[in-house]
Amino acid sequence: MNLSDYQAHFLQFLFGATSEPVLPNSEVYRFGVEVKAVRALEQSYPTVRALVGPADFEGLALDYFQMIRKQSGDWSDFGWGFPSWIISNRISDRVPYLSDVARLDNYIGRVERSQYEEVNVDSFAVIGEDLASCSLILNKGLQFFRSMYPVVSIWEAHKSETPKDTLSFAQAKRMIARGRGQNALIYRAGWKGMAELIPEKDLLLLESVRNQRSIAEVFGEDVLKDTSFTHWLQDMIAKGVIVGAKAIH
Amino acid sequence: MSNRQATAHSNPELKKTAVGVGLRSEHYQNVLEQTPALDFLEVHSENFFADAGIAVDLLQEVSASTPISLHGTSAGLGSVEAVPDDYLKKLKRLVDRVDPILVSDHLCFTWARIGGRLFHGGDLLPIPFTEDSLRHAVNNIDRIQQYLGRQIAIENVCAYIEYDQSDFDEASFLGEIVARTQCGLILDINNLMVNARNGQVSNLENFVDRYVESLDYSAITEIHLAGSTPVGDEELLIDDHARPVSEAGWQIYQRVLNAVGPRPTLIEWDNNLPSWRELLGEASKARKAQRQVLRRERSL
Repeated sequence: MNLSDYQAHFLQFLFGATSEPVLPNSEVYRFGVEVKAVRALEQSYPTVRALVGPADFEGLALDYFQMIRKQSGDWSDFGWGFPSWIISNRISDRVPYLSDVARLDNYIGRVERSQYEEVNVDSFAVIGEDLASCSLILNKGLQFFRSMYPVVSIWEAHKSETPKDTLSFAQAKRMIARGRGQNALIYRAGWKGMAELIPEKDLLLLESVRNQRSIAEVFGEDVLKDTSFTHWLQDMIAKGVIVGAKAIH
Repeated sequence: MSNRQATAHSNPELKKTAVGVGLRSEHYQNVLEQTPALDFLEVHSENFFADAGIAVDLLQEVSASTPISLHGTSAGLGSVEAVPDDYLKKLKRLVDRVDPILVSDHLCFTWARIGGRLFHGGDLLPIPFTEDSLRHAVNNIDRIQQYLGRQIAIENVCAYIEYDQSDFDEASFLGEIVARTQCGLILDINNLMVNARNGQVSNLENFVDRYVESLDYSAITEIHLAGSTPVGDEELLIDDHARPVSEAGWQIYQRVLNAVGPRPTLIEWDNNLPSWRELLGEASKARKAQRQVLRRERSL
């Protein structure tokens, strides 16, 4: 076997594609890589792990590792496709909301690893009389999504060592029983990514802002007279969700 | 190959008695609260490959007060496949961001092509010490040095497998690489000890002496110290960086320093992390050993 074939064979052994070890003691490396793969996914998907428990999580992580394998040098890159992959795993029959919870964990990781823009206070000066010719600017680093499940409450509950004792857990349980979902806004607070429940109206507004629609189109011509808009905007600026305004057209 | 060009970049050199520790996420807060009394901090390069974000911001903040050593674990310098462009771009961007005092990685392979697609093994996989391996390692090291425009250092790794054929022993193999690429060497004492123990070497001191004597002392840019764990009825020693440096480790370190003189030294601790204070305590022990050598050198 030439060196190139040998190296490929060794990786196939690590990924479980062959049970034929290349040389005695090769399984030390397989075991080591599996431990690293599980640890990498544990760090990226803490809520999923808390939900299914360490043993089931390890099984999931190893299945994922053997199927998807590792394609970059950075372990924290490993597992970006985990939320979609979970849908096809039988665990989703038992825990149908697992993929969405994984998506929330994944978005928190993305927010923590993305360029988070600073608020440009001066740019808001463009908001004048003609609201049809300016739009708000959404922070490119943040994420939001609509879930059929109470993902934010599940995430919130599983930050606790004893999730079942939390109000969020009770709320999540109630909502799952009623078939109700939540909208999640994921943003960065200091050094950490955070998730927050947002009403449907806010999610629609953020979608419209992302699509660069004018303030008049999104909020109406008379919005500046509406104090609830001012409060909403202040809150979004404080969280770094809206980072500025710009002239359009 | 243009070694002169590759090494032309002048970085602030570490003093030979510099001591640093590996900075892991569990200790970020400690470092942010108070600048540590250390000569440098080592981080794993790949943990900071993200485009931006919290870890990158934090490293840039820390690098403003403490020199950073970028130690890679994923370049796979001994791979037949060339280190991918994407990897090089991310490494270069990080180097530009933190202006490290050292850039290093391991003499091992990680990349391989399966069914036409490139995969990463995720661990430090040993290579046979053959002419063929040497050619690939030299090509990859040259490629990185030229891309970064600076010297890198390579580290000896633990090998839990043994190859049937070899054209060199490990020290001579490293020597050939240094001669052909002008790269630096990181001498990982724990890896040497783990290989000696797993290879059932009867006299550790002789083994280390012979190994070190075969190296070009001037190429040794850093020494690494760490702890290891016995597994399976203590049949195998695993280099898991999960314990303090053993007493035998300190003795071998002192022996190596006596032979080669003081060298920048890193305490590595990656699993079962101790308190920050305990980690700094390990660094103090390394400092003490360095001082002993300096005193001895001055008295000669």
